[in-house]
Amino acid sequence: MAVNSDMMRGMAEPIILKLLNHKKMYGYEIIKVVNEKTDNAFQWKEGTLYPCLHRLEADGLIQSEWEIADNGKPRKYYTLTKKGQAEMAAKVEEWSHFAQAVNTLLFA
Amino acid sequence: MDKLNQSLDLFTEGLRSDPEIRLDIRQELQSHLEEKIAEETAHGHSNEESLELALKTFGSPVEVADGLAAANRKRMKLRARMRLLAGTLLIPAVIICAFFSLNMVFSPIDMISSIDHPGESLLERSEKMHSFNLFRRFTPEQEFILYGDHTKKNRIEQQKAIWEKFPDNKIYATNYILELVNGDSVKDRNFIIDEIGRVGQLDPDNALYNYIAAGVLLKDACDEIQLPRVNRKAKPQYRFELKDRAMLEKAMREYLAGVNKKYCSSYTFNLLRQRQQIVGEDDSLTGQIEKMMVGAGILAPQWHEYRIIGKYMPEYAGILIKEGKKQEALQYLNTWKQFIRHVNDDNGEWFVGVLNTAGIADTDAEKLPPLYEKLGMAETAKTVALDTEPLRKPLREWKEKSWQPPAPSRFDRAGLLAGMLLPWLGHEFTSEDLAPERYAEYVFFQKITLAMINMFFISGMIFAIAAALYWRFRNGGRLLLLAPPPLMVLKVLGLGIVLPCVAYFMLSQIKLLSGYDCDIPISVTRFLGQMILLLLLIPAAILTLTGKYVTARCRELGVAIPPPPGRIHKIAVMAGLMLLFIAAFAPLSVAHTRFPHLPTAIILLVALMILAVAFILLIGHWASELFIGRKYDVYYGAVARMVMLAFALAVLVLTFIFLPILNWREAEFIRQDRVMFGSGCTKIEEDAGKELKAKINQAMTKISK
Repeated sequence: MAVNSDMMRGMAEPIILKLLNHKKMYGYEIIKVVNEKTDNAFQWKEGTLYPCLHRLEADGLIQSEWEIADNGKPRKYYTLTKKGQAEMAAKVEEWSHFAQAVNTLLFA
Repeated sequence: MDKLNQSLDLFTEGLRSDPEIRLDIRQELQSHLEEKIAEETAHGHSNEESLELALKTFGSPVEVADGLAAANRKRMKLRARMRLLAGTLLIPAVIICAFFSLNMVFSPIDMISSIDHPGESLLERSEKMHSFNLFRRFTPEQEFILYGDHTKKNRIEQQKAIWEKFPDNKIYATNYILELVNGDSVKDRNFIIDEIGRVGQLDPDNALYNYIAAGVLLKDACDEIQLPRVNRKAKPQYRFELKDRAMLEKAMREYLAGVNKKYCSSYTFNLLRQRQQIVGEDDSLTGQIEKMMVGAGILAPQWHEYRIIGKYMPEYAGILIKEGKKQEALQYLNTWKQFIRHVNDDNGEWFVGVLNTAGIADTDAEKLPPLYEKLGMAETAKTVALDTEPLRKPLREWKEKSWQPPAPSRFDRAGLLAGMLLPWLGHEFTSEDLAPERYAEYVFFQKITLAMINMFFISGMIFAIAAALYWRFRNGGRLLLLAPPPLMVLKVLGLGIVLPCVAYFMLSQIKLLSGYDCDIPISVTRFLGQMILLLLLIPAAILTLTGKYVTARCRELGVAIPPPPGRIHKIAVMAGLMLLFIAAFAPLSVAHTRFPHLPTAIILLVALMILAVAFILLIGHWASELFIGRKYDVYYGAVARMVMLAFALAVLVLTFIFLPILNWREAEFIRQDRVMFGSGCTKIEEDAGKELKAKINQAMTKISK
């Protein structure tokens, strides 16, 4: 079942930070991984990923670097910074409390 | 793919004020969409369908464009401020550096040329040479006291102007008279005598004016003809020749009036002190040369007048004895003590002045005793011989001790100035004595090289600005100004400027390699090689690093990059630089041989020829694309603007970091020097003058008793 885009708002940043915590990734790869892992549950407009990435970069949570891919074309990879790691941990914790509270209300 | 491009343009519409960010993000989005299209095509969709699907899943162009603009607004604002800062601060700072560098290249040339024209202001030299002297060290009033009114046609008029401005000042009045006597622009003897009389009225107790008038008259009254030498080593002999008896008598009357006056002063040292005070203490080599030039610019023609009076007074006494006018002759002979006392007082401690006093004592010792004997005064003759002996002895002893013909290798370790000014002083110098001034000269030329590197960068910047405008115009306004990351800037500054300069400094400390243990004429080709190496290496390093960065960045941004030059260019450049390095640091010159500089000069020439060929090949490689094709305009425009920035930074670093370091080193060497830099002449000369003067003064006290 697809998740409503309004519900997606506010979740994108913790998800990106969490994914980048494992390895460096480029924009299209992030979309693919999210879609694969959630079985296309998130109906992201792919273009909205980039403002989000750039905002995180401007806040110093992630950093980008161009690399030449195997197909010879340049690709911009993002990695998590130290500040981003701390922020990611805080966001995950925050989300956990939020989900617990919502679950308590909806399923109690 | 026009639709893809149009869509990308729409997505990045909000970023158009910063072409680099726009291209960067456009490239990122393009890479995403192309991958998506490829995936959809692999699923069996047509190209058009794949594109449609990719764009559909990407989202609304307006929404994406707004999102991207909002996310990058902060970054774009910061970069816009940086550009503004670069435009408003960097460019004026570089213009200031340009003037500073121009001044640094040309004022040493003016300074060196002024060595042949002591007393002429640097400003005046600059005006004559149409060269550049931006920073006036002195106020117009100070210039006037130092050099006179240089709008006047000759030195006499220029110096007279100072007296005319201060009509009661004896120092300036006497200075004018000394210029008048020395200069050859005024031939009218009567006018000169009248002017001397006019100035003499200001200072009636001063014997100087009488002596100078006597000297002027004596030059026309008599002559001395050199007799053929018996052999080369024999002391030259002269025959006295009387040309005008009446004028001789007139001269001798002036002389007699002079010896009866209270004191004798040409005020030369007062003027020197006053002018040196204006010049002030300057710890640079040019400052020291200027101080010497001020000293050399103050004329002391009275020394010549004293010498001819010393020679002709005994001749006149001899004539009187022959004519039987014994009392009159005695009257003149007995003045010798007072005259030499006057001369000694006026000659001060200056070495040449002391030589002058000793020279007159020498003449007296030879000529006076025989005349006293002719007058039947054998005892007085002996006394004169005894009295004059201690006056001439110090100089004789000093000559015996110090005066040796300079061996060719004696000044191998001296600086250029020391080689010019010290050999005739005959002092035994050690390498340590001469080292500081030698190093100061090397630093002086390094400063000129640094200024020339700056000039190269500034010319490069002007060229880059023109090129950037050309490509902008040709490319319809689309041009990239890349903002290099701080690490890149540090890399350019560190590897492009600091490393070559520090490496050169380290190598120059190894005297065997740098040749700095020898004077510049011996190491000249090597030093030239070093300076050319620096001149080429720093810009080459900066250009290479900048070029590499722009190429890498343009590849990221999807900007078309021209093919790199072939291996042959690289090999030629490396070979040229290697040979240049060998010419700059290999001790191949052998002093005191027929062609000491030949090996280094040949290597230097070959290196420069290889580099010139490499440069021509490189230009040839780029020329067709540069001026005919349009494919790489954005790339070349980016290179031009980046080079402009890198050169501007290089100029600032060289001017505000390395130039002060060189100035500090130069001042340190000047402070360490114990041989060259005295107050107005060389230190050795000054010390020798003081030593001899003390001895002559001691002898003078005895004869007074």
